[in-house]
Amino acid sequence: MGPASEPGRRDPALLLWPLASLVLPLLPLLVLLLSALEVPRRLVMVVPEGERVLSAPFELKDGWLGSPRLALTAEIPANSSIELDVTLLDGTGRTVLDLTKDGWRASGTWAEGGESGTWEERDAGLALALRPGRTGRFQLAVQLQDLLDEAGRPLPHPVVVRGSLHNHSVDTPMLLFTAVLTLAVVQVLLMASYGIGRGRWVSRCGEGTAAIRCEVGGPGVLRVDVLARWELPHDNPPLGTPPVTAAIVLAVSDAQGRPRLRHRQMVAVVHSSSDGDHWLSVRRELHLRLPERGSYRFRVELPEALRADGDLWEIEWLQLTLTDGLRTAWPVPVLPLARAAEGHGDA
Amino acid sequence: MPDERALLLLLAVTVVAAGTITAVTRPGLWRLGQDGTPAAGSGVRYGGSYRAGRWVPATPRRQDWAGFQGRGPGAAK
Repeated sequence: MGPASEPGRRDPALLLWPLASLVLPLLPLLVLLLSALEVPRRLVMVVPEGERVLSAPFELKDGWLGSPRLALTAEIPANSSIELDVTLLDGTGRTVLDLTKDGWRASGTWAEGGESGTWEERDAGLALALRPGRTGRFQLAVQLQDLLDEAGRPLPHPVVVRGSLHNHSVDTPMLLFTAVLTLAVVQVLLMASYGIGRGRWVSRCGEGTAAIRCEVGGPGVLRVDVLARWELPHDNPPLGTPPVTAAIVLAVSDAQGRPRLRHRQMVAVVHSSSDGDHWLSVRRELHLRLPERGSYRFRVELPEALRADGDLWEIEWLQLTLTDGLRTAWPVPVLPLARAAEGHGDA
Repeated sequence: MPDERALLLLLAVTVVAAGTITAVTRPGLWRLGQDGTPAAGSGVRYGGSYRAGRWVPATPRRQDWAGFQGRGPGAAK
């Protein structure tokens, strides 16, 4: 196989910059990771019924780098309900927000179809996402209005209210959506950069030889895809080990019929089976560079039958696909063409 | 084809920039003093709301609610 390009000269078929776009979907995830590294401010309040309990003062920061998010959870007994007043006070003790959380916690056992287990559900928390307008110190005042059991009777327990404050929280669903959407656009970009050429030709036949004549050549490389499949002529499993290699021959001739390339190589044969069916297949990708546009004939040849350990594998189909004008992200081995005047050139 | 590729790259950069900046700066987030109240999830009743930059307590102060609202084992398995 020949080199992808001349030494010291950049291969014009190489196109690297679209690969850099793969970094883009990672940016929202990086922001999410950095946000997750923020250590939250913890708040703990033990609230007896009827008493107003103040939290430790905390700072709500205003700015463009994320926003404050305050989450509170009341730890209440199983099968109980709670009514909790929460007031946000500014640095002067003035009420800036006042709300009531109606929460509950329920649990029990279930049995169905001979199986059993326990269940628990709760809604005893709240989360506030807001901007304070300007950075300042704030405080929470929490008051327990009711803590009732399932029958509506008051429970004498104090309630522990735990809080966590992030001053730089971000919109997680928006970041994940952005990452997915960006990845989709990048995939389209990569497909447009590396997957689409000037032309594509396909020939599929039930013999060991397939050929295509077409107008190809110019910037980029020509990719030759060869795909073939052999099967046993009967439904019985193979008697022995299938062959592991097969010879593939690619011949290229120009518009005048002069041979420009005859390349022969051994390719790996893959044995597959499903639901009692057995088959052998090969897949090979070869690359050519045709600087001058013109009419070329591409002929690929594989064995009509493969014999091994008493089995005769007959070819089922052979597919030859040509894609012209492709750019690649990495150098690919390119088969050298003989000059037209030299006539024949074995690789 | 180069024009399409450049356009797609521009589109990808625009999507990632717009989505990330919006997720970080959150321009639609409620601000203290803004009319109304912030979103706070289920079971939350505000005791007032902001009007013209001032916190105005609601009347009556408390509403009735049904108390215990566990949904039972049928919804929890």
